[in-house]
Amino acid sequence: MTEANAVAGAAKRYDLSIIVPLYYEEDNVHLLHRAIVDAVRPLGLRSEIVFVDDGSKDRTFERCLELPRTDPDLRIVRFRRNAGQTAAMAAGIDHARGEVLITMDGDLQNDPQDIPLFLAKIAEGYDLVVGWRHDRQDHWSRVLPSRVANWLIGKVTGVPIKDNGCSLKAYRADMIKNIPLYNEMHRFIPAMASLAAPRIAQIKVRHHPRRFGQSKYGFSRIYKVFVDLVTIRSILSFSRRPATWLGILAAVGGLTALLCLAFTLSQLAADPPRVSIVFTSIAVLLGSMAIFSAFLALLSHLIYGTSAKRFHPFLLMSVRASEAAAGPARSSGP
Amino acid sequence: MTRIELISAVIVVTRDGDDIAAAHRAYRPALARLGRPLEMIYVVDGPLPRTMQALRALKAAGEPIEILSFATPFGESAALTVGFRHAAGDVVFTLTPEVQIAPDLLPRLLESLDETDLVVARRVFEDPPKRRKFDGAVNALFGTSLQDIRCGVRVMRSEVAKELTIYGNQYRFLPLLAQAQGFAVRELDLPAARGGKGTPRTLGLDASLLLDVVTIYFLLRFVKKPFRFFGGFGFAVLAIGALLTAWLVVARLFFGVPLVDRPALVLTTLMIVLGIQIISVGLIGEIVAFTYAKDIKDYRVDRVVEPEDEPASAARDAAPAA
Repeated sequence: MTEANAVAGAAKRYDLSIIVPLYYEEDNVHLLHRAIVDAVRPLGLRSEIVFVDDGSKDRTFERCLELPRTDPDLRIVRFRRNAGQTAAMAAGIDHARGEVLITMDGDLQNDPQDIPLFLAKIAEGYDLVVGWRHDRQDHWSRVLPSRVANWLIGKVTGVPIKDNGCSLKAYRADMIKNIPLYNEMHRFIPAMASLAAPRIAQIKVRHHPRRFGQSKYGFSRIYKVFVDLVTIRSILSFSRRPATWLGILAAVGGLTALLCLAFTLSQLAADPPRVSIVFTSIAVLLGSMAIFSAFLALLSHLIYGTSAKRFHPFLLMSVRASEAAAGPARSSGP
Repeated sequence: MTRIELISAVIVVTRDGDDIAAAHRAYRPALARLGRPLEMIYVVDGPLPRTMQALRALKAAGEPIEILSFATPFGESAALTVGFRHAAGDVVFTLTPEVQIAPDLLPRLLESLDETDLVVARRVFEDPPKRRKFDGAVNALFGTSLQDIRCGVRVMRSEVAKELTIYGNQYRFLPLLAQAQGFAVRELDLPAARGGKGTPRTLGLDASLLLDVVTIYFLLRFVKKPFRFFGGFGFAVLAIGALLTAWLVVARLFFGVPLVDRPALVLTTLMIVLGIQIISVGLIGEIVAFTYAKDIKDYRVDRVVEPEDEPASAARDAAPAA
């Protein structure tokens, strides 16, 4: 199916994969494993746990190796060096073999006891279930910026999610395995997933304060989130309507350039000429640049749209989604 | 490290002038002393008749060499890549046609591979050449601490040789790229071969190196997220341009400062245009990266421990990173 499955090998299938990226979590690993096992065993599903050690330099990996590797099966992916949370999630998704994938944080702030709620929503027919930490156990200096960010992300991407930062999410594997996750897009997974027009549900989850270790975020995120947001927005609108705004820019820029040029030419014979050649030049520069940009964007869209690996999975998923239209409405919240 | 079944050595020859037979006679016994089977792969970059003749004579004399040759020069990176693809050994040496390190010391290089993935020789000269400001700048830029990055004598595990993708002039910075891809890299001080003079330096070479460094820096940092760079930069230019233009317009309207072809207005308008342009370039870059995203793997897997593996000894590198 996808190359991701080729990585994992198609030997054994599971109903459920729990994916946990770990970064400097040597104190938490055993507790976390215990909590997941306690939550998953009673469900009676064929399940697996995928721990992704994101290049921690402490004893996280060694502590993982101490854990029992069966019932439920435990698969440990270790990175050669730190690659970031998005890459760790992507690796977990690539290596997971379940039909439903659940991602969660490695710091014990998410509660594995919430997993059955997510599975119930998936069973209802949703493709993506997003956790919402409705009473966050963090300092207000973390909660407030995150509120603003969530509101902004919802407005800009058109996928209103109350809590993009909550790692506890459930996905249908055939949907999420086709979504490209790269750079630092783990904050925007629902927005990126909207490429496949999934049915999204949100549910309230429990949230615990950190017990061990340090929180790994800082204020420096604001710039990155802002820039990434613009990026995501352009990628989304690009993939739906190629080069919309670049097309508008090209049209406006081109027209302005033409008008300025025509006016300048008409003034050449006049004495004295009432025209600024400098501003005409600037306008022509802007117009031609806009047209070049639109052309490049169209060219990339040609590559994207004609590539079976990149674009077609989304079309097929969309067809499947409308066939299942008897199910819940698209993108509806609780 | 685990038992070595085969040692490969890749030697890229780009000039016909070097006495390749002498180099071979220097390297061969030193590598043979490691006591493992040996393959020496000579990659000849382009038609170099004298080199080919010398290599053919060596091969006819029963030396364990393989000769790969390009019909036309493709450059050292391409030659290295072909050599790496061809190398079957568990460890791969790269050596230079002109002897840079006293060959007797090659075994020491291999010994220090124990804990790392790639070891570069750091040439110690009897009368040191000029201080390597260039390497210092490169290290500052990449956050590394390698002092003889461009030394051609290295030894690496086969994974490094198989996974590295290099092209253009990147062969000079192979250790940096390896480090950027998550391999552990270290240097080992070794006395330079007698008569070695270090890398010849000219202004032209330095300029082209500088260009390469900038290229690689961008490649490593921003090529997958161009908007991180162009976005911030572009918005800053656009904002400054817009503010200054607004101020000039306000000054014209309310304070009667004349505007006709004022250089300041031209400048601020240009800044607005430039800002829009930078932002567009960044976004188009992001769109191209997105188009390509399913082929990008941001992570390098060291190993995957499967549920069936023995609890204590998990096989190293069960799944190669794509």
